[in-house]
Amino acid sequence: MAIRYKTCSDTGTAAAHVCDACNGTEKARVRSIFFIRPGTKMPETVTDTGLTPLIESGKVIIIPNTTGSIEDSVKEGDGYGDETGRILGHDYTAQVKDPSYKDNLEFYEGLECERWGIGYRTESLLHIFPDVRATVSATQPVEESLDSEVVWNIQARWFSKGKGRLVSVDDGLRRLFDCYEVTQANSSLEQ
Amino acid sequence: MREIIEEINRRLGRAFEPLPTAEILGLVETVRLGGEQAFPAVIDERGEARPVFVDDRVDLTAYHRLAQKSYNAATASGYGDRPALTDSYEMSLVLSGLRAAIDPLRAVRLAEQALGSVSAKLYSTAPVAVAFNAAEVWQQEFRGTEFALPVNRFLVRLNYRIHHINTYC
Repeated sequence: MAIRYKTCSDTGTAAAHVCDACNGTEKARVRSIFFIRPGTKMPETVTDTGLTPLIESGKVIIIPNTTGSIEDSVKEGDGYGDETGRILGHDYTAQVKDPSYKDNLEFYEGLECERWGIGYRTESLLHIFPDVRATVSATQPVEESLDSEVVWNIQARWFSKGKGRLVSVDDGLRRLFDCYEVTQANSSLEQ
Repeated sequence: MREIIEEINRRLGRAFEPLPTAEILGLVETVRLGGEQAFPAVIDERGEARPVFVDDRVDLTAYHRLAQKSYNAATASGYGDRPALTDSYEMSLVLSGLRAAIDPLRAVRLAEQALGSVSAKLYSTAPVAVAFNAAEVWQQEFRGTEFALPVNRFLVRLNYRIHHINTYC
């Protein structure tokens, strides 16, 4: 018989911190946002070849050019023993603007009817939450200023026990976040 | 730029239509005409310069100058990977007219209305300031020459700005 101390980590210890003296920081802005239809199995390794069929079949919907931010707050539950609290997960809120306004009324009406897995792109990374059920709403505020823009204001809220997967955006993946059309006839991406 | 000035000139042409001889010109540049004297001139596609003088036979002459173009990249705005890019053109519209044909304040008012009403999806124009000091305007427009504006004529400069949204498209 032996005593084995248990922790919540799979490996029993926290992963080592990785520092890189040469890399710069990741630059902000939600530059693209994408929605993952419930039940969609995302590939283990996210590449352009893996993602393309999901886009063609409408299981992943990308809004390529956006601006916005993500709020990430820790959801804490009761603590036990000596703990003051226990982290249950994170509540995320995305506030994103889509300038493609005129032709997307039906799209956003449809988007509000379902709950979605979600992801977004910052400077060089995708942040993916495939298994969450995000509540998405889109509003159409109009400001007074003559210079202001009428755009879709998207709000997405979701809870996740873990943090999102991070995927580096290579050239192939980057092309999937350009403006294109998914045609119905042959299910191919057209630039 | 040419398209915007043509649109302004269309509006100026309509505003000054009642005048028998109104000369609404495009963009001028400064050219030297021997010695130290420099004049505004319309330069055509072949590089030929047509100087603009204060002409007693014309009820009203109007021309545009481009002083400066400036760029603004707002990283807090824009979409996708790009900042919001806007260009500003600092412009002036010089008006010289015969007082008997049109009152200078009336001419300025009509020009203000023409400039203030130009607005399209990607650009807009707006008046900024008016210089009524004819001697000062003369020195800037006809450099190296003595102030010789006949008393029956006026010379004013209306500074305006073209605001242009750069879409890269």
